[in-house]
Amino acid sequence: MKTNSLGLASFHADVPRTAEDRATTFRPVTGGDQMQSGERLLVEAYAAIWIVLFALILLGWRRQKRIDARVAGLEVALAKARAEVLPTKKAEAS
Amino acid sequence: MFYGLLAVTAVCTLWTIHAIFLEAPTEATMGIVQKIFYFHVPIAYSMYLGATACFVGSAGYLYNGKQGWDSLARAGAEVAVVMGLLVMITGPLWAAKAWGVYWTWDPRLTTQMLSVLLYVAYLVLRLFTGDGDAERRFAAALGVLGAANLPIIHFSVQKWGGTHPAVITGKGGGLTDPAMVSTLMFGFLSFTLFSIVLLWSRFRIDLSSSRLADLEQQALELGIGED
Repeated sequence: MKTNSLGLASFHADVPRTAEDRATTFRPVTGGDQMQSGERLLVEAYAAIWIVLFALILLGWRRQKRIDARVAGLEVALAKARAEVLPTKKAEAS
Repeated sequence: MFYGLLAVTAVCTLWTIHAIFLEAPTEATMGIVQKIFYFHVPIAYSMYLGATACFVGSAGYLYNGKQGWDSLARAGAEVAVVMGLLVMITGPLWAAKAWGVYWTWDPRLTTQMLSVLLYVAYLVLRLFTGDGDAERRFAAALGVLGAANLPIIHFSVQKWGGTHPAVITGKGGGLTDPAMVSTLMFGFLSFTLFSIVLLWSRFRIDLSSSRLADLEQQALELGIGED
């Protein structure tokens, strides 16, 4: 280890100075290709399924209720309108 | 009866989730990600159920032109699209681990995507081209022709090879543990019930929408306002 004039070890003495000193070799290793967590992928797949299916059921249920309410309202209005129109037509005919 | 079926479906689904995570053993090579299999395959089968309903409804409508057949076809196409998209979400997530890529132009994957696009086209057609008899008949023809791709998806693995595995074949599956088999069976049961619930729900909505359109027409003829 290099020392300075005070006899202290130099912190930067072993730091590579040139590009060649920093040359790094990448070596493959067996079993080192686990880029994705299986647990995370499983949870993502599960979440996608249940979010889509339950959203579909919920939206369908709300749409059905809205349509049913509108149908019921229209049926009442039509019955009332026919009840008003029929006596008028009978009166006109007689 | 609909809510009873919904309750049975919920119970079966909860049991399937229990079986997948607590009963079925972890697969030796792929690890825990293989558990996607227990709902990926039943969802693919559910897509076939939806597409078959679309085919039957379309053929029925072309035969006698009744509203019920058209509603069944539309409900079937919606189920086929939803289940098909779920297959195409869960499959790539599994492939990311098993194959190292999310997507590859494998025959099974490509024909599956083609089928989903066909049913998306059916729904787009129904959504944007009005509700007349000619439009319904055109859509029904698409619903009948779209079903032709289903056997191609199924047999693509055997006929053209590719990367996609064929675990369930006529010569027995690759599930070596009884818990794996029972979990898959529960998956099939749950998603069959889910498909029926969805089909029923969409069928009812379509019939009600049709009834609403009739009433609105009558209201217009009688001069009744929006109230």
